[in-house]
Amino acid sequence: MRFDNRLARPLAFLALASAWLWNAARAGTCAATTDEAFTALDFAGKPWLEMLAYYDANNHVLHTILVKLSLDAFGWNVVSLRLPALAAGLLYSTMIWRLGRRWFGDSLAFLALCAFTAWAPPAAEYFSLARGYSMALAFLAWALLESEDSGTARWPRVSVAMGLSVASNLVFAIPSAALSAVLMFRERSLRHFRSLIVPGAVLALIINALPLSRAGTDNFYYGAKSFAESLRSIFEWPGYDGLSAAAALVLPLCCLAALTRTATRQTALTAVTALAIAALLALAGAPWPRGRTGVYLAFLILLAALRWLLYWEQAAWPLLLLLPFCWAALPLHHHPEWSGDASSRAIIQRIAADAAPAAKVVIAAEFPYNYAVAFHAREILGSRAQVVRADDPGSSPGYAVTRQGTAPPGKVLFKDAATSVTLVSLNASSK
Amino acid sequence: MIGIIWGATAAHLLTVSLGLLILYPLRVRLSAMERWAAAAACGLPAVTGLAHLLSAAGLFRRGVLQLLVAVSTIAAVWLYRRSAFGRRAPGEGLSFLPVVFMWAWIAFVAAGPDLTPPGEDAALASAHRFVSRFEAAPWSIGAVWAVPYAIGRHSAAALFHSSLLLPAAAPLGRFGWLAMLLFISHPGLMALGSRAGSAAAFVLSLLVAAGAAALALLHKEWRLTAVAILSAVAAVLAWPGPLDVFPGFVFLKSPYWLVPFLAAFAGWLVTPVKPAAFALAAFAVLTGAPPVTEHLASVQPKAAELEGLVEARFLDVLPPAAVVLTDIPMPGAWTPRRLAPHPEWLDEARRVAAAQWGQRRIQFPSSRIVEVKPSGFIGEAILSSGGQEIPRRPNWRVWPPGAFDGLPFTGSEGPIRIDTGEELAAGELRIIGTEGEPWTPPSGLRRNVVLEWRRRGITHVLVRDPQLVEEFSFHAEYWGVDPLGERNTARLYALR
Repeated sequence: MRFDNRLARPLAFLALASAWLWNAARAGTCAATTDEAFTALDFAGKPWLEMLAYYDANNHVLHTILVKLSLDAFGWNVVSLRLPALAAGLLYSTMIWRLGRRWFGDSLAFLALCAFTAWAPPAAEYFSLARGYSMALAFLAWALLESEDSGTARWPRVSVAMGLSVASNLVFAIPSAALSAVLMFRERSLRHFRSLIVPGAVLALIINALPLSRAGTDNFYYGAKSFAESLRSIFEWPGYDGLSAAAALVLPLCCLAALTRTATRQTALTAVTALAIAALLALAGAPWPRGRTGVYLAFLILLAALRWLLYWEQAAWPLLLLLPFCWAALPLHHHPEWSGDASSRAIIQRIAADAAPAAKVVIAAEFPYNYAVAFHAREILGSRAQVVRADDPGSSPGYAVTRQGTAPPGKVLFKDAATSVTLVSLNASSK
Repeated sequence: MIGIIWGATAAHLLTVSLGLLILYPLRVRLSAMERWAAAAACGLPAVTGLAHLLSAAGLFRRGVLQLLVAVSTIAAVWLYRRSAFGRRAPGEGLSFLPVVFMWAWIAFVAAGPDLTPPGEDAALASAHRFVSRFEAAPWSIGAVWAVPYAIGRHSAAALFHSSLLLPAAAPLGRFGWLAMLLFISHPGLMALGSRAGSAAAFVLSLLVAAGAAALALLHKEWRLTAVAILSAVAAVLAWPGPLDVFPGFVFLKSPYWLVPFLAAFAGWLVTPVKPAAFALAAFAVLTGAPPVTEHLASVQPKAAELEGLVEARFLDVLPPAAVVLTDIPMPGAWTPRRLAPHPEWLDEARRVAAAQWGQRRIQFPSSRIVEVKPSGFIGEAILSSGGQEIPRRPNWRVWPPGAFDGLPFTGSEGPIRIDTGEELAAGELRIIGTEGEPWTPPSGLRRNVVLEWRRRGITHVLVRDPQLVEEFSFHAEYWGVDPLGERNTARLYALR
C-alpha cells in the first residue's frame, strides 16, 4: 500500500492532538488516585517551607512544586491537580513530533512513531495523572531531541533538560547518567563534559536538595526484588494485558536487534546502558525499577524499537494496525492501577447529598481509599469535612468508606460493583 | 570578651608561628594562604609538645605562654620578612573575602554567652583538667586547647577552635571562589566551628595532609611529605570520633570532614560554567544562612540548648578542691570543679531513702565455690556455717564486691559468686537486699551513705531528683548535709 507523504504531518498532528485531548478528558473525568491525593494532601497542600522540608518517594519535587502553584492558583480540584502533567503532555508531544521528523522526515514512519508513542501505555497512563513521571518523560524526550545533533554545542540544553527530568522524578537520574555517558562516548570529548554535566546537576540539586536532605534509605521503598520481576512489571501495564505480554517479549528483542544497525545505535545504547545502571543500583542494595519507576526504560526501549522497526517503512502499517488494540484497552473514567479510587468522587458527592448543610462531616475511610476520599472531601465539602483512617480508635465518624466485606453495620448509601468499595452511613438520620 | 578574643588570637598566633618556624627550613613552595593552612596544621603537634615541655618544667602558666606567643610570632615575622609568607596562587585573590567574613562571624560567635555544647568536648575537658592541675597534659589536641584555656578560659578555647576554620578555608582559593564559598557556607561546619570540640582542627589537618601529599606526588616536591606527615599527626591527635552534624543542603549526606574536599571538587567542576556557579553559590549562601538552616535542617545545626550549663556555672561558688556528685549531665569542661565519675552512686542514697529492705537465706552444700543467682538488688551477702558467721578472708574472690563491704546500700543486681580457695563446709548464705522477708537496717544508715561518699572524696552533692531533694532537705541532720543553694531547680549540698 502506498502512503501519500503529504498526509504525514496532518495525520501525525491529529494523532498527537487526539492523544493529548483524550488525556485532558481523562484528567477531568477520573477521580483522584491514591498517589495523586498523597501528593496533594501531604505535600502540595502544605505551606511552602513544610512542603520543602519533607521527603517521601511520592514527592516528585519539581512536579509537586508546580502542582502546588496550580492548586493555589486555580483551586482545589482534579484539573488543577493534573494541570502540570497535561502541560508536560504538550511538551512531550512537541518533542516526539520533532524527534519523528528528524528521524524519518514527512513519511509514514513519522506518522507511526507519533501515533504509537502518543498512544502507547507510558504516555497514555501518565500524562493524565498528577505524577512526576509525565514531566520527567517529557524532559527526557527533550534531552533526547537535543542530543541528536552531533558536536557539543547543544550539550548545555541537553544538561538542563536532564536536570529538569531528574528534578521531576529522581529515578530519571539513571537514564540521564546513561545518556551523558553515551554522548561523551559518541563525541569522544571529555573536554566539554562540564557543559553536559554541570547545568543539569546544579539545577537538579537546587530543586531537590531541601527535601532530599530529609531523605533516608527507608524513603526509597518502592521497587522490585529481582531483575525478572522488574522487567515484567515495567511491561505489565494494568488494562493492557495482551499488549503487555507482547511488549515484554518483542520490545527488548527489538532493542537488542537495534544494536546491529548504526542508525539506531544511540537510542539502543541508551536503553542498554540504563539497564546496566539499574543493575548497578540493584547491586548497591537499591530496589530494582518496578512498574512506573522503570517507565523510562519502557519509553527508551519503545523508542529504540520503533526506530529500528521503522527503518523499513512498510513496518509502519502493522504498527498502525496495533493502535486500535491500544485504544480498546484504554478506560476513560479510571486509571486501572488505582481502580479502587474510581468511585471516590461519587462517594463524596453522595455524602454531600446526604449530610445536613454546613454540618461537620467525619468520614472514616479504609487505607488506601482514605487519600482519594480526603482529596475529594476537601474539593466538595471544604473545611467541614474530616477524613480519618478507619482504624483510628479516637474518631466517631458519620460515614465509613470500606470494602464491602468489611463494611460496618449501617445504611449502605453507595456500592461500587466493580471494586466492592462501599459507603455506609453510620447516622440514624440518613436519607 | 576581650580576654576571650585575646586568648584565642594568642593561641592561633602561637600555633601558626610555631608551624611557620617548622616550615622555614623545609623551604616548601606554597602560596600565602596555603602556607597559613600548613603552618596551622603543623603547629598543632608542635603546641602539644610545647605544652608537655612546659608542664614538665612547671612553667605552664598564663604569663609564660603569652611571652612564648610574643617570641615565636616575632621570630616567624623576622624569618619570613622577605618572602612575604609566600606567593599568591592563581585565583587566590578573592581568598581574603571569605576570611574577612569568617572573622566577622567568629567575633559574632565570641560575643555569645557560651560556646560549648555537651557531648563533644572531650579534648576541652582534658584541657580543663590539665589547666586545673587535676591531670597531666593530655596526648591529644586537648594539650593545644589548654593554651587558650589558660589565657582566656574555656570560651577562648572554643573561639580558637573556630579560628582554625579560617586557614582551612583559605587554601581552597586554589580551586576557585566557589570552593571557598561552599566551604564557609556549610551549615554543619559553621555549627562545628561554634563548638569547642576538635572537628575544625581535624578538618584542617586532614585537608593539609591530603593536599600536601598530593602536591608532593604531583610536583615531586618531596619536602612537602614532611608537612603531610606532621599534618597527619595533627589529624590523629584531633580525631573527634563520629559526630552528629547536619550535612548541609549542597553536599547532602556527606560527612563533615569530606566537605573541604567536596568543596574543592565542586569548585573545580562548576566554577567554569558561570551561570551554574552563580546559581549554586546563591543556593549555598541562602540555605547556609543560620536562620534558614535552623528552620529547614533535619538535625539542629546549632546547640541551642546548653543543658547543664547553668548548673555547672553554679559550681563556681565552691572551693577549688571541691568534688561534686551530681545527677545532672554536664561536660566536665564547663566547670573548674571536679565531677565525681559515677553519678550512679546517688542510687545508694535512693535505696536508703526508699527503705525497702529484705533478706533471704539460701543453703549451700560443701564446696570451694558458692554461686547463686538471686533476683533483685543485693546489698550484702553473709556466709555462715553452724550458726556462726564465716568472716571474709583476704584471699576470697567475690562478686559483686559491693555485697561484701559491710554496707547494705552498696552492691548490685546479678549473681553472687564466692571462691574461697579452699573447701567450705555446708552452710547458709544470707542475702540482704530489696527482696525477701522484711529486714530492719541498723540506725544511722543515711549518715553512713554520706560518710561512704566522703571516703570516696566527694565533698558536695548537686541534685535535681525530687526524691533526693526531699530527703536532703527534710532529713538533712540524718544525712549530715548542709544546703548551700538552689539554681535552675537543682540543689547544692555540702557533705559534712
